[in-house]
Amino acid sequence: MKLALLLRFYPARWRQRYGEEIADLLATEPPSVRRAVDLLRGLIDAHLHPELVDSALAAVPAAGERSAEMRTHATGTVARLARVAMLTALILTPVATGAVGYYLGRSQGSPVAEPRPRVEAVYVLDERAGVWRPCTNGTFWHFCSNP
Amino acid sequence: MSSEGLLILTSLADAPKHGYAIQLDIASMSGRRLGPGSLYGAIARLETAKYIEALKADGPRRPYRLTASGATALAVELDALRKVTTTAARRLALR
Repeated sequence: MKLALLLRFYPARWRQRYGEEIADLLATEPPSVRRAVDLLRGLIDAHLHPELVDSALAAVPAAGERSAEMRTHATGTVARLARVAMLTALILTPVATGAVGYYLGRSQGSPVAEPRPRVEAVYVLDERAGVWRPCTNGTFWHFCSNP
Repeated sequence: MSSEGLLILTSLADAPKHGYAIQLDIASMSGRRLGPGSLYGAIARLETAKYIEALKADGPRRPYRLTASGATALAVELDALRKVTTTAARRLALR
């Protein structure tokens, strides 16, 4: 599991500013679920608060040639919501389709069910009355369960 | 201020440090190892608030230092914490 791959899903400006530092930090220790969860939390935070990186980009020495151009990108509520929706879809789609289970080699997904054979009406003979009774889960059910 | 922010300001109070050094310092003083997501989320907020500033990078590692307003903010937070701990200790003693 390469946690650094998650960095690709951070906003571009965030990656430009902190990507190298975060990758360096990730390289200092073995990956773990805890680290993955922390990085995912950071990822969501970065998409929800893209404005946090603006002042940081402007203040960084010898970095920020592209910051003015990048600042023209939409940072409004709609753009933010769109980013969060994309991120949510990105995370939830593999879960919903069972891809996670598949990759873990223990998918719980069941195959497409075969259509049930159609059961035609069943009749039992009511010997006392000398007639055939329909075997339904109603009035004459006892004939079927206790013929 | 978040607990991560307070820990980072405390870590930078004696000298500038890069992310990895901050992470190790916080782990040694609090027993809590901040993950990269939490650490850089807090660093971004502190930079935006001008409590810390980035220095020239040394390879992939960029050091950060506490600013004057960051030192003031840390002092205010510590003062508030001191009041809380004093109150907590006094109330616990009464039990």
